[in-house]
Order: sequence, then structure tokens, then C-alpha cells
Amino acid sequence: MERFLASLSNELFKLRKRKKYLVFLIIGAVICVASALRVLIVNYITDGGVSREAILGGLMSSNLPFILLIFLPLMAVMAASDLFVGEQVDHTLRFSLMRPVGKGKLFFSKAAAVFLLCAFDLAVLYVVSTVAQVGLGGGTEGILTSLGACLLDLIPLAVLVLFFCLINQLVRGSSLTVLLCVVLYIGLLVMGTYLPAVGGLVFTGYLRWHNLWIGIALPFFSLLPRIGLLAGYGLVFGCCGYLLFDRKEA
Amino acid sequence: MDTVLTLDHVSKIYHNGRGARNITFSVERGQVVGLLGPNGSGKTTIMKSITGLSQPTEGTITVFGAPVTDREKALMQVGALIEQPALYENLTAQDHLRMAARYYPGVDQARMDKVLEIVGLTPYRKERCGKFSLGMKQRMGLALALLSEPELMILDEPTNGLDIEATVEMREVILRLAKEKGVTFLVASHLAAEIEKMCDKVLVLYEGEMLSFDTKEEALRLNPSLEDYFLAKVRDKKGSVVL
Repeated sequence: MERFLASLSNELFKLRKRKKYLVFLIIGAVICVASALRVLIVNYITDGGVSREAILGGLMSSNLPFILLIFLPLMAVMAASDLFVGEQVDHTLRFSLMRPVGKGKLFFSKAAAVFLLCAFDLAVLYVVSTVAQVGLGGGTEGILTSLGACLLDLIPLAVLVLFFCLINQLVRGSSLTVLLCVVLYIGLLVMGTYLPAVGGLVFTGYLRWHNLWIGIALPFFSLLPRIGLLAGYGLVFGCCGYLLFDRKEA
Repeated sequence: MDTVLTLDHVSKIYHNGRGARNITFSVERGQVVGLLGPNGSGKTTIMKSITGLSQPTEGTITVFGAPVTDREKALMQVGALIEQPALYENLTAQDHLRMAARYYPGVDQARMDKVLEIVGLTPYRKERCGKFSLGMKQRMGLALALLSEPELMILDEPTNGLDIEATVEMREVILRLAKEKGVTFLVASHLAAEIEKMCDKVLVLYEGEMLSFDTKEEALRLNPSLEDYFLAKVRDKKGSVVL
């Protein structure tokens, strides 16, 4: 565990030292605030009759589709690509491979670093959206529900990160890997949306995991197969990614 | 004497057919062993296999009694500098040392300062490695290799990119650590004179094959220099074809 934590600290440190993630986070925060201002402006231009509490209540919940389906996956693709294929290409992967740490710990520490980066960004965007909601006179309605939704959505996010980590083991070029991740992700999203027969079987269909738990009163046992499916995807992506990483030579 | 490193019929063949074949030798504690061979003879391949950067096609490698596949045990006492040092362009020298230190309990700031001093990079500790010259990167690689006070150092062309003064300093560091602290060195070079100046034993590699593994005294008994020894071994292998 000690070596895993050492490796995780290093991976997080490397991500922290890349300014593009900070810039990306600032852009995400600006978009969240802008979405609040947009609804206020539209309300003002139309008749302005709707109360601020009504239009801004649950601002984070209305931002979640953008954050979960676009912002965080893009962030995860970039971070996974930087930590895996990027290091392979510029030979810096050797820095870690020459240290006394198992390849399994190295692989999962990199995946955990990508996940923690996404989780941190989600937390920051939650805080920004909440502050914007309260600050612009939207009250505190839906804040706790949004928090619960964010926490629940971390589960499919972890599976998505493992999926991107696996893709990073398949291709050598950085740009090609990013492209492949994006194309596959969009392909899975489209497939899940337009092919209802397979929609329930594709893991990207569960990225808004909170929808199953909040607002829809499904019995717990009917959710068990979906939990199993997501766990299965995570297990397969994690194991295959590790096996391919283990065979890598630097 | 303790055996630090053992290679038993190790082969590593790449897709293009190059690599190293059937390499068997062992290294005792405190020895400085030189791997001598031209470019493409398999020196780096062997070193990568020892440090777990690549997996041998056949054979076993043990480091301090542990198979190299047990990375956490085998690599704990190993410091390595293979090919060009693996440095992150956007991180400083100090950042690199801090990251490496996390893997070795007991490595503190004083040790980091010490290794930077040994390699002469103290004034550049806060500079990004992307701005370093080839020689400075080589020194930084050596600092990282020395950080954990390893008992086995694996150095691939350690004087690559260093000026004359730094080359002499590097050699002195190797000899001093071997003599005073009993550190074992495996040093690869294509320069026979360099190997001759610092090694106790020499292993000759040619086209992926191990031609000999002798002490320096044995090698120089019938040959005026290691260069002649190397050429003699290659001639023997080629059936007295003049190079």
C-alpha cells in the first residue's frame, strides 16, 4: 500500500504540474456560471415574471449533463493519455518503471490519479454552481440533492476512467489514442441513445447514475443487475488494462 | 563473496531478430563489471532486462536473491541509468528527486541535497530539466540512480554527453563508491579505454552473444589493452577475419 500511495502521489503531482488542467477547470467553472446568467437573462428578456428561486433552483443538476457527458470525459481522456501513452512516447514511463513498485500498483495508481482529478473537478464545479445559485438569488433548493447526485455519479466515472486507461494500452501514438478514446466514447453514447435494445448494456448509458437513484423510485432489487453490469465493466477494463500494461516495455 | 546479480541463460530477442542470446554470468558484491561491445551488441538489452524495463524471452535474472519479476524486492537496492535519463521536461531537478524519494523510505532532503552536490547540479536544483543540456541530464540521471544509496548500480554509457572533466569525475565517483561503500557496478560502454580505467571484470558482447567474461588481469595478460582483447575475441568469433 505504501508504494501504491507513493506512486499515486507522484501521478497526482505530475497532473498538478500541467497547467492545462487548471485552465480546463476554469473554463468549466465559467460555463457553469454562464449557464446561470443565461437563464436569468432569458427570463429578463422574455417577461421576467418567473422568480429567481424557480429558475436557478437546482442549478448544479441542470449543469450535470454537460459536466458528466462532456467535461469530465474529456478531462479523463487527456489525463489518461498524459499518464500512459504520453509517458510511453517520451520515455518518461521509465522513471516509474525503474523504481521498486509493482506494475499493478503503478497501473492502478495512474488510473486512480485520473479518477481523483475528475472527482476534484466535479467537486469544484459543484461548489461553483452552488455559490452561483445562492449568489444570484436562486436560494438553496436542490443543493443537497445535487451533492448526492455528484457522489453517485462518481461510480460510473470510475468505470469510464478504467475504459480510457485500457484504450491507452492499445495504441502507441498520443494523438491517435486521444482520437480513439473520443471516437469510441461518442460511438458508445450514440449507440446507447439510438439503439434501445443495447442501450441498457452499454456502460456509457449509466454515466448519469444518479437518475436511477434520485427521483425514480425503483425497487433496489431491480437495480442490482445494473450495479452488477457496471461492476463487471469496471473489472474487465481494469484487468485487461493491467494485463496489457504489465507486458509493456520501456 | 556475496552474489549480487545472476543471469542464467538469459535471452531477449526483439521482433527484428536483434537482442541478446544465452547470457550467463554473475556479479559479486563490490565488483565493477564492464559490458564492452559495439552499438547494437545487446548491452542495453541486458541492462533493461536486469532493471525490469523489458522481459527476457528466456532465462532467469536474480538480483540480491530475488527474481527480477518481484520488482519491489529486486529493485529496492538497484540504481540505474539506462540510455538517456527519463526526465520530465516540465519538472525541476528537485521535483524529480522528491518523486523518486517517495519510493525509498529514509531518503530525506539532506540526501537529495547530497546527490545534487555529488553530480554538481546544486545551482540548478530549481530549473526545469527541459532546459538542461545533454550532460546535465546525464548528471541528473546519475543523481536519481544514486538517491537511494543503492548496492547495485547499473549504468549504460554513463559518460555519454559529459565533458572531459565530468567524465573523470564520474569515473572517480564510481571507483570511490565501489571501494569505500562496496557498491557493485555494472557499466556498459562501447569505449574499451573507459572500461579499462574503472572495471575489475569485463564481459565482451558482440552481435547479441557473450564472447567472454574475464577479470581485467586475465584480459590484459596476453593483450596490451582491453581494445586489443576485444578485437582478439571478435576475431576468434569470426574465424580470424580481419576487421
